[in-house]
Amino acid sequence: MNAFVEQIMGMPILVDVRDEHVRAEDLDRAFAWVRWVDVTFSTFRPDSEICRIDRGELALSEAHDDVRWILARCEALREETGGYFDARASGRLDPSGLVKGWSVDRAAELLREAGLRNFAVSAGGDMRTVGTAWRVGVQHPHRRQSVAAVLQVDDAAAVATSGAYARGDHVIDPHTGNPPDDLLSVTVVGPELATADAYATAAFAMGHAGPEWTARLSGYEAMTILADETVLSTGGFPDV
Amino acid sequence: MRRAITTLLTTGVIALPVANATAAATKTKVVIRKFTGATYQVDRYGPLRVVITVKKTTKGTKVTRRITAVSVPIYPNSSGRSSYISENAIPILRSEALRAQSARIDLVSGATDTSDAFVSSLQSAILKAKRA
Repeated sequence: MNAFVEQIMGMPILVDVRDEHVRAEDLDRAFAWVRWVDVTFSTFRPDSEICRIDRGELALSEAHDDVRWILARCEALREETGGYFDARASGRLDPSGLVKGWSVDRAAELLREAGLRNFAVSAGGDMRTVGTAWRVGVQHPHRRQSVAAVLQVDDAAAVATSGAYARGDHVIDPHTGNPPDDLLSVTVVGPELATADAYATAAFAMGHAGPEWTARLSGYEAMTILADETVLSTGGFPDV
Repeated sequence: MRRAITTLLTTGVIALPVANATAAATKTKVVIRKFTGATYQVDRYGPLRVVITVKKTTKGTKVTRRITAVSVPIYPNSSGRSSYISENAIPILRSEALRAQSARIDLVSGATDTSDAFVSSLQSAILKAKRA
């Protein structure tokens, strides 16, 4: 078992490999991909395509295909979530909520194409696993040394959590501009991390209406921890 | 009406997982089946029938069953609200109290800002443990 970590996009990107052999060049390609995503999509680098589009200096038609795809997907998710996932919630163009998971999904695809069969790629608390029997803990919102649930996930699964207990409130309800106060966290499990992450963000922003919304999702399961410490899980949530 | 059904089925889900001492098998077997309930007349409103989707997991001698979806193909259709319900599956949620555990895990999913110390620290601890 080998694990490799690099600090990119302001967070630790972890590649955890259970296959016996992993080639250095395959890992390099995966990390180089995430670094390219950071350079292109960063909201902190004034010369990134996202910042240039936000300032009106780069036309969408001139942007990289991946940038256009991400912004189109953000718009589709905004509609699907009734406006609760919104890349412009902060007033500035910020597709980070989708980009992080998408970059992990694509890094996992690169490693799979390189022949790896049993590994995980994780970006600061959200992850995509490939292979069988990965055990993923859901962080307990109050007790930092504990987990609130343990999930056993099978091939090509993604796990994303949105919550308010990390450093301050960073998810806001785009409709009110305030963080929701009736939920502690929402964890979403499904085939793609990009979508799971966006759904977790949206369901968290929905507040008390979030759990019922997650129960209607197709292909994705969710667990919501309410402020009163009730845990609501959808029927197929894979906790053990 | 809808709220009452949701609650009823939620209670059913909690009671569902059962241990079953059937023949031992080493592999995990998952079977997903739909079960249709009997049709009932709901007062003056009309017929009601519920279909549940059950995921049965057999792991060795341990069998767990979990309802993964509930839909209502026949439902009283006398008002706009109930015809809306008949076209949409009723969402099902399990409810339980928050627990704290310290089980063996490979990774942790948690809300994190760019430099959340806990997750970073935990990930690096896992990293170290694996290299040791």
